[in-house]
Amino acid sequence: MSIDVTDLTVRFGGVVSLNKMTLTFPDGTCGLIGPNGAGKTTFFNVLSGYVTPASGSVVVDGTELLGMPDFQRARWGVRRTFQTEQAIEDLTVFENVLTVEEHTGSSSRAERTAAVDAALEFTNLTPVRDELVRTLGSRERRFIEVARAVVGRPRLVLLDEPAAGLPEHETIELGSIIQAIPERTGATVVLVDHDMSLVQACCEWSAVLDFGMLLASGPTREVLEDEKVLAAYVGEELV
Amino acid sequence: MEQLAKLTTHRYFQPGAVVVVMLLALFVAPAIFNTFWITNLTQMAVFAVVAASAGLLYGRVGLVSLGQVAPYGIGTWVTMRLAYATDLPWPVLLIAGGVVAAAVGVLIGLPALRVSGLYLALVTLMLALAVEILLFQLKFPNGGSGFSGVASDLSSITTLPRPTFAESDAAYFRFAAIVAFLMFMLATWFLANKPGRAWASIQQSEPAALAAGIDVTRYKLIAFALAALMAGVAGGLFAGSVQNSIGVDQFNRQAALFLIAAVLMGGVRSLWGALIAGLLAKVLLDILVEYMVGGQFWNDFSLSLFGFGLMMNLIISTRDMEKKGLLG
Amino acid sequence: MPSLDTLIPFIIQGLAFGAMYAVTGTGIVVLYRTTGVVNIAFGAVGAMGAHLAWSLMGGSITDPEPRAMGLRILAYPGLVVITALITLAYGWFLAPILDRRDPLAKSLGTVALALFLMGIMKQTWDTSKPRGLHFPNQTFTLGGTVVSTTQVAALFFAVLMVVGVSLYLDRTATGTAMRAIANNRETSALLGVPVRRIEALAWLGSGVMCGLVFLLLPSLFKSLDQGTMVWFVIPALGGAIVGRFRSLWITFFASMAIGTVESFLTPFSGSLQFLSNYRRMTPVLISVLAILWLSRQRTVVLAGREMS
Repeated sequence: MSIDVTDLTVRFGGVVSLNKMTLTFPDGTCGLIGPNGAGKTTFFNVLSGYVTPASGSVVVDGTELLGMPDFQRARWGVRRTFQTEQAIEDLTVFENVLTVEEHTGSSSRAERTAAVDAALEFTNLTPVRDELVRTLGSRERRFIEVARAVVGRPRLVLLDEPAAGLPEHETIELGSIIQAIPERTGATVVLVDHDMSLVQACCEWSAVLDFGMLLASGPTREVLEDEKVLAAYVGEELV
Repeated sequence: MEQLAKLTTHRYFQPGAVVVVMLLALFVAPAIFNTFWITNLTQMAVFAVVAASAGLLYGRVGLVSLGQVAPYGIGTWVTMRLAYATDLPWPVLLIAGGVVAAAVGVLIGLPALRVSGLYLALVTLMLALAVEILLFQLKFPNGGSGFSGVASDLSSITTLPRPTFAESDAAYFRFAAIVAFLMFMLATWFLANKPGRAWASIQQSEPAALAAGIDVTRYKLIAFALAALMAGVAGGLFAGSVQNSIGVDQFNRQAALFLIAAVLMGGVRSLWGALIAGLLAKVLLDILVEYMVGGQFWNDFSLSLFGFGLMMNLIISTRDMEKKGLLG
Repeated sequence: MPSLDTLIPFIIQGLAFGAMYAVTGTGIVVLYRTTGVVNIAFGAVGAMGAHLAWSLMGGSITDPEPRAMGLRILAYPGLVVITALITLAYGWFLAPILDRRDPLAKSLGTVALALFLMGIMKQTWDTSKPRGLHFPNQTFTLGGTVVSTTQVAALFFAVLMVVGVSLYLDRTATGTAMRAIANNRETSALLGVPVRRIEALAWLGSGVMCGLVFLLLPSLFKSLDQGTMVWFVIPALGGAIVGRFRSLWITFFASMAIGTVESFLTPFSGSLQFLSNYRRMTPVLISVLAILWLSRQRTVVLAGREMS
């Protein structure tokens, strides 16, 4: 499903975080990149409902998202992960994913359990199903975040630096999981990351934000070679 | 039934310890302790339920309420009024006290929803003050008629009737122990299921909870309601244990601070901490008075002991957090 | 509805009380902004000071009036020294241990202090009898009403405090340092602000203000018992909540309003008796209304340090 962003503007006091951002995300897995402070996480926060934009609209699959109360967006199908992982320490892996499913999805217990187990299987977490998250390391925690984002019937999966802090082989593992999300769920995935090899591997299409505005968009390889994009990143390291 | 079986195998329930404690309470304690200690143990059971309600809010939802004495007092009042005025069986009286207290708990929770941390603590303390003033004005029923049930002349004052099956102090203690057990099981049931998972999410990160589809407002109110219900039922138990001339001093600001000190000293991570809080608040002091040099001195000094204990607890937990690198 | 003649003395008394709430509120807000601690023990410390000073004076219930004989007069500044020392001792030795924790944990430390002092007081002095030092009280008539010098002093003192402290925070080096720490502790430390010393100064100032409040209080309120003293901090907290623990002037006016309304409601009787009976709910109602109004958006952020 496509995401139509029109004239999205967000102001925090005097700072304009998103400046009439306008773009359309196509189906599949899309990258959203840009230097620090470009507004990527702010954009996600608007989609999640934590931030109310000054103006603009976001239409996903025909529905205007901005009118919806925050917690209902997840029920509608907006899921996300966070830059600092938020897997719930006091719960088991299974319970972490169950929490999302029982607030957004199926009615019968059997259906819920099946959906959760399927999501755990998809993210290679089945071996640690009943472990308390407190005892687990960053790989499991990051993967749990993704499992929570894909369980049930998501329509929009927002991944905010999902591989941050992971070593290369786990990043590659995560990458192959991310690539499989649209096919498994039909959802559109938007991936924000600074790891360009991950973005290239997962996303056929990417958009670049700078100073809260769209700088470039199109096939990922072309966008990454675009002069304007390289100029925006001067002084930043492209991983 | 299947749900109950599932509950007993959950990690929040320690069957061995529970069985031991209940056996001790129901069979051993009444046999070996005299009336004085049995009454203390009854107070301990009552206090433990109130402590559990505060501990649940603090340790499992992340909501600091300094106002749990309010539903506690309301529960006492409602149960007393109904016990004098009606022939309803005591379990019904306790439930009535709990339900009215739960309504009050939700009312207290509503303004508290928008704030957190220290601000929440101060607001709940204020709201507890409001209830304290109300209870002070109403006074506790003592056999009189009318809405307040306060007798205008001394001859009308009667002792609160206890349940017919629990009239002796030992029998009432058993009754209190069972009710306390049921309250703890109720809390565990909530914690082990959907509400508990939602609360764990809210406690760790409200944005993440919202992103998971959790209606944070609703679940916070459910938490306030459950905690108030528990405290209200405990209030009803308290009424039956003391039976007459109840004043506001169990439910005032001083009691509120004393409660939070005891709760923190007992530990908020597990419901067992509430039992420890009850032990500290209602049994330990009397042990000191009876057996330590100084006697009554310990009673009058009890507030200071708890102040010291609270400070120790804060210092220890701070050192602990520093060691774990949790403090920036 | 009582007549205006009946109400006016209560309004005047209310202004005096509100003034004392306002000074308390000022102390609480400044300390919070500098250290992140809400001093819930303010009343308990003041009560302790009042009781100790009373005892030092050789106080007895039958003869509470001040006797300027010899060293007994030292009990007056002695009270302020006691409250200042207790507060400073807490701020210097205990508060820093909880330094890196959230404001709630830090403030629970003052709850511990309050409980500790309450136990000592309960043990040492009879809780129900009024204690404290008294000032010679002249009364005079102002426009048909009887006003006491202490009431005027209280009002004057409160205005002096809020103006003085505001100027202090604005114009002096240490005051500016306090504001800097309130704004950003880590950066201030990096910039060379002697954080611990400035915080100690804030604690000391809070302790001094506490002593001054409790010097005046017994002269304003004849039947001031231990409980009323200890919980004197609550209406002040109400004022501070309205001021969002940030604005001294809003705290001032909110505290004045709380004190005045509380006292104003005292003489109501008959069908309006409940107003008198429930007047002590005033700080609760005002602060809850303030919170509901202020939190129309999602979270309430206060004074640069989120209270959570």
